[in-house]
Amino acid sequence: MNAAAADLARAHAPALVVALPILAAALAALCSAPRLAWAIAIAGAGGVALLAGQIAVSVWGQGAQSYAMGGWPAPLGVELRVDALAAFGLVVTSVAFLAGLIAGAGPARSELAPPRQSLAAALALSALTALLAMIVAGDAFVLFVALQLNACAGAALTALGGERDRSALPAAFRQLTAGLLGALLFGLGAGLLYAATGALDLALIGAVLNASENARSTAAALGLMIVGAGVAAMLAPLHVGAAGALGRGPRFAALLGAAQAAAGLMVLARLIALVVAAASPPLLEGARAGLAALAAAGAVFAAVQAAGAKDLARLAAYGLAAQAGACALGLAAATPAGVQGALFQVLAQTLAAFALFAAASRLGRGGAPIPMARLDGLGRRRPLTAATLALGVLTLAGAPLTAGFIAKWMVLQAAVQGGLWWGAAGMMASALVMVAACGRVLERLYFQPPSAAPRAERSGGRGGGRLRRARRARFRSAGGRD
Amino acid sequence: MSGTALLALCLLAPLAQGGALLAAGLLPRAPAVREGASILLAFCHAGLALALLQATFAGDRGMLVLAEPLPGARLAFANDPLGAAIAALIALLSALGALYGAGHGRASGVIAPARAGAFAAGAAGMACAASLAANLLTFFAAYVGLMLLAFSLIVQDGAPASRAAGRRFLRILLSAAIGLLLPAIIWTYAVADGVDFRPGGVLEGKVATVEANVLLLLFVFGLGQATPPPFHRWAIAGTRTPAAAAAIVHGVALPSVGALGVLKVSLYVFGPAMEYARAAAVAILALALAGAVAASIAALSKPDLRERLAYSTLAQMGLAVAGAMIASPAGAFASAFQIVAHAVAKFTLHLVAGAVEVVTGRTAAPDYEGLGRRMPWAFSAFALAALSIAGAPPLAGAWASLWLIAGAGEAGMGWAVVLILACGAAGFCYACPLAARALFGPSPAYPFSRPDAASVLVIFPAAAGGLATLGLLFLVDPMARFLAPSLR
Repeated sequence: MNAAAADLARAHAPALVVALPILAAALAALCSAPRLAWAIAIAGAGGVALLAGQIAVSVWGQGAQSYAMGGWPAPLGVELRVDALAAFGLVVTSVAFLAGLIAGAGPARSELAPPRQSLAAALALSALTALLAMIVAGDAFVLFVALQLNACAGAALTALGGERDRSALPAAFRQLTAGLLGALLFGLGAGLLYAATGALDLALIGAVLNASENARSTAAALGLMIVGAGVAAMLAPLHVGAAGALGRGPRFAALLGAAQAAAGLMVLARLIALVVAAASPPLLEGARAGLAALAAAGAVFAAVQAAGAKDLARLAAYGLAAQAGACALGLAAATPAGVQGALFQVLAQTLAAFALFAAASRLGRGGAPIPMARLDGLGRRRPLTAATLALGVLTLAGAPLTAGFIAKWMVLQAAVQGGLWWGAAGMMASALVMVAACGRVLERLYFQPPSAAPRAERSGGRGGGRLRRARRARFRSAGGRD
Repeated sequence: MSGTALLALCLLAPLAQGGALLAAGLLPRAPAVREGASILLAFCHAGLALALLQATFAGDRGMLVLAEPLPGARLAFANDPLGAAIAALIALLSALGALYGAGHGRASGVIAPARAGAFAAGAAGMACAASLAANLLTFFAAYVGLMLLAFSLIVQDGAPASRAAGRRFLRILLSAAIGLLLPAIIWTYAVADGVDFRPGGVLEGKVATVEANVLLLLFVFGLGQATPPPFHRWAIAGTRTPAAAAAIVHGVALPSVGALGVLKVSLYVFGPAMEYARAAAVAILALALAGAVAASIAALSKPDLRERLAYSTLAQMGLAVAGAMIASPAGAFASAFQIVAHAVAKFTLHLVAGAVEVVTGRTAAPDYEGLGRRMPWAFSAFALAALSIAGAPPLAGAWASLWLIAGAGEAGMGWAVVLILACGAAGFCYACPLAARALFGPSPAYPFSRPDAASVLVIFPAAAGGLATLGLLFLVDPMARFLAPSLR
């Protein structure tokens, strides 16, 4: 019985991985006890992570699989496609999401009113459904629907912050508009491609594009699809909705942001790998140049925004957008080395963004904003949080030997070898600005004396910690050096 | 012990020293324990580095691979003769610096002496790691690590002016490293499929004229620690480092690693491919020598001794870069010996300046008049080091200049010879009259702030440094023979 069930689960894993979170979401929405709702959410995300691991193992062993939903095969039916790219995306996204939920459940419970708790858990699971569907979708139509669902769920999560801070509402609206617009552009592109090739299945579109000659409508369609995917990937300057919302929405939603960006980038990666890379040479060149220009300009733009950010969460959000630019540059090279670098960059930026958002949620209890001055002298006051933050920032800045450094190296190398000199130069400029932005954070953490009144700290910290800190301060003033 | 084991121990010793200092810093009541452990470990490091040099001399080449983050680009260390020689130099001076740090820290009441000592030990360790790096990736990591530790030392007193200086320091060096050096390394990796330092160069046969010229420019200007002119102002920002740490970090580690980087790039990355980058090399040579002359003249106008020493570093490193750009065995040896001679002399000058700072509480050059009567050992060493900087025979600096002139003459660059001589003359003007007035002027009339501060721990390292500038005379020839195979 058990073995049969396990076999069944294995055979239908691509469908289950999408169905499980939406079912859990329904269950969580019905729960009135906040604790239980969050437990369901974490269990659901944990189950998804396990399934993702199982899929990765089976793809490793057996290669790519195509799953025809409901038994309707590719040209007509809904197709889920699980290849190495999707398996990687599933694992990264689901694990990042699970970690985000585990780290975020606590802040969410202090941040949201009890009646909203189960709603929040359900919305988070819906967002997870959308992300997973984006990753495993094998045809353009499913992708279009998943992008829409992603925009809606993400905006709803941001809007939950409106209870505490009204500025979350316009941010949520912008996120919804931008996300839906992106999905719409993607749908438009998919429609144009359908008209040109008669196929919706991404692999099939690629095969047809390879044979057909270059048409202007095809080029436009590819451009539209790339832009649509770029919105979901928070690729600057298309990140206005999502990245802004990460800074303004509730903290626990920001913790899920790393996973959202990763899933969006996986859509872009799949688009490049299946459709663009197969297109005829002039089309391929155009798409590469376009994406590289978008990536380089976006990376610089977002890095400048990060350098000017006055709030830690905003800095993390813009930093994430700048990293997405680096990743897209690797994809724009459209070579195996480039895609490899891009995937490694996804991993690095997900880790870094998660570290930053986790530290931000520890600092801004109850969703309070975290002006940069709050970081002054944090290395002494809260060494662990400061170290988390420092590691995240170092990876974002691409400090030597961190994952971010290796990833950027791979991306730059691929860009140079692919002839995208100017893209590599833009990316270096972005990296320089990011170093300045991150260096300021590090300086505040470790080299600035604590600012006069860390007020939120005092009201937020627990009694024991406060006492310990006071005792330590007394010891220091009594003549202890170092 | 095998070369690889020595290599590992040599890299671990400064880490242990820094760790011991930080751990002992938790016991603020027992400075003797801290200082004792630091000095002991520093001398262990020096001994290990000498043993490594000996092993290298005997032909025992070790290779320590820690990781391979990218195919063909490993995190690896190796003891090539040039790297082992510079690492031994840094380790020896760092041991003297640890002695000095103990004496100076007690006398001057520097803030958080354990942390400052640990950062200085870490910087010396990073400099050794950079010297022993087997490839550009490892070199880059150690180079940036050294830079960050030097930054931590500049800002460590927490004063706003120090923080501003630290930011300036890091802005210049880090933007050069990330904006120019890193792209050059990745470019090299992309065209040569590897970034190893290899005698004969990895770029040979892989680059055309334009590429080679652009790459050389990126490399040299990216190595800001070698003070190529638009990226030289970090040295002046570094004058806020605590005196004991400044000697090892700003006198030895930063400039030596920068110049060694340029030399290794020209020898082991370009090799014969320097032929293709002729135009860039000559342009850099002219810029470095002109910058050296300008810095020497600027040093004349600086009354603050630390600032004068910083300008002097710019001038001396200009000569080292010039040697590397001549791209002949003579030029390369001139560059290597210039690194050694400069490190020893500048270290000594920094030590004496730090001692004067703590004894008299003054830092301006006019206040040095007659100090030699009160601190004869220190100022004898100061005079030797100053003469060496000016390139007066038979001191170390003279031989470096001589080889450089020979190299430039061989390459048919008469104008370069003129510039080198001008640089020496200006160097004589900013260093030697100062030393002479200190030794032979009338005894100072102003009261000293801490007349008893110049303990033997402070004076001995300075005297040893001064003697070393003289003793290097006997090392020129062995060193030339030792390095010759790797400089071709």
